Amino acid sequence: MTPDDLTALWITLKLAALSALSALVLGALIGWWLARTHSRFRGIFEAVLSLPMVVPPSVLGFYLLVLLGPKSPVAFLFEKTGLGPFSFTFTGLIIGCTVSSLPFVIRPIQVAFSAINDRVLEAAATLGASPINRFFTIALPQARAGLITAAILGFAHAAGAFGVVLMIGGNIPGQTRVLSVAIYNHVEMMEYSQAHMLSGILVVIALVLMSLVHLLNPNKRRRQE
Amino acid sequence: MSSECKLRLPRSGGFVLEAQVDLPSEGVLGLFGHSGCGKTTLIRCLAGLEPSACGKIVFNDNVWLDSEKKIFVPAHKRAIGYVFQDAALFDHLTVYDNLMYGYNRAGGRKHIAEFDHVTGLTGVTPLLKRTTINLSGGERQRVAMARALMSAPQLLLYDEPLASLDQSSRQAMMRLLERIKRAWKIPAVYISHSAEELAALADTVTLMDNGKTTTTGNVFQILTRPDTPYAKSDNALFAIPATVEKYDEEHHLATLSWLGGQMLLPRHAKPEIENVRIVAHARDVSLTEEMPKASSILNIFPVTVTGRFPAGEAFELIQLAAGEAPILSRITKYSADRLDIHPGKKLFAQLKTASLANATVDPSPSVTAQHNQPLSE
Repeated sequence: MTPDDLTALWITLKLAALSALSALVLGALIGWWLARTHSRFRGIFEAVLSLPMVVPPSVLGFYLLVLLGPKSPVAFLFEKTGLGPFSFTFTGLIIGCTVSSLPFVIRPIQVAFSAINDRVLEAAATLGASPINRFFTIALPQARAGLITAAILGFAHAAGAFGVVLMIGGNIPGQTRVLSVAIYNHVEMMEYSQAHMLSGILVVIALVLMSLVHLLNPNKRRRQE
Repeated sequence: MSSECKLRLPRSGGFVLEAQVDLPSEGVLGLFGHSGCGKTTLIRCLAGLEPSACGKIVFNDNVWLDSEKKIFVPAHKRAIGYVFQDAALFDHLTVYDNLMYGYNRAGGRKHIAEFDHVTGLTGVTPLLKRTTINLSGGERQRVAMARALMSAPQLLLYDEPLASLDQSSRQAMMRLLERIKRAWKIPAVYISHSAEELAALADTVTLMDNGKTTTTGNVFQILTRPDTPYAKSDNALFAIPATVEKYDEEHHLATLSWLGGQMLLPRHAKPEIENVRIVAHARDVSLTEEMPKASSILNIFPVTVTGRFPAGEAFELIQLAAGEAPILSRITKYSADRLDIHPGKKLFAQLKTASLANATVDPSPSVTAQHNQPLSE
């Protein structure tokens, strides 16, 4: 493996971990709202949130590029805050991967939150727990399995992202070039053995992660009351 | 300190809760009605779990709801303890941590008793280190009660806490509820469709029907009304307050004095409490015109008929006054006609069997003594 490939592996792992984390935080908040709300906008909201699953990654990446770039409609925010623009940066990649893996992260969290018995949350309320306190002391611990699954799925999805990454600018060696893009470059240069090696690494990572998901979620039935 | 409770809450399907209850400042208020009559909705409004309820709730000068002034105090800010029908334990925590969850959230109120005292009286001390997953139904409900008591409630709300238990744990739980009532005298609202539970626990009872509160009265009066759930069934029962006079150890008989005179009841041991309640089924009270000379039945006393109501095709429910105490008898229509039963008629009632409620004391001190050290984990 060339030093460049090693760097790409490192960037990939870093990107996957950070975007999984941010998707997890966002996913927990959104998943909680989706699982508990009776709002009539829930359906539309869920449809919008699942778009990254069905829209081609290049399309998602294109819009994000426009949004995060220097001439974007939110560019004034960049000036106000001193942050951004994010196109062609590692932060941009995190944002892109977070958005594209969000639907995969929200789903298991939402399912886990929906499975929590309303009575249990109400019992916590009658014992003096505020809504925020209930979220942290009851909802999150009881949804633990769902949260772990979500984190792993988010990590796996971000580790394999290609279209989104390439569109936002992920081909700068040492900064934004990730494994999937490195593989593409090797194939372009007819360096099949290196492409094999990197592809193998991604497959192994994916295999390990998906085994973890299945190990953590055995099909055991929870005790019925 | 004043209390007030007037509620209105429309539900889907045309059901409307329209309730007015006198929140107890002491003792237990029973809400009595068939399933689906709105009891649970009403008690949820009291707990603050129904944000869309309209009306006014004031408990001991604390305003919990005043929809005109747009005041709604959410559940976590009301000084209540709620015991759900299905216990609703936190399955990700141990029993000890379940209790501490309430203990740590008492909101600055003074705890009703030491942690160990509450776990001892509710009998959960041996369970503290267990997870909640493998507890029996009765154990779960005891943990739920202990947890509610830990949060220093000023009003206990019982939402049919015995409904999901089997018969034997139900008896044990009823004794526990009596002990809790006696030990800490926390005002409570207890909802049930079981006359037996109310006979043992309630002091006043409000009847509910189809979302409305109808009648309120003391438990002894209300239980002898013909319009309570099951009044017309074979299980109709009534209760009378009584005092234990003496206990005959040779014959295992307790002598009780009550408004209608004296009564002898077989007991395997001396009742531990002086002020008890005699609970009897209407079907165990038979009526006769003359005082029988010799009978195997111990308890025979004069009564006056106050009402006569059909109860099914073959039976009638006869309302009686024994001294000042209202009681019931369930006899066949045929017998009622033969005895020419009408209000004002004087008869003799024979009580075949009855049980005592509120007759046992706290568990022996040895049970609590094993775990005197405060748990710190």
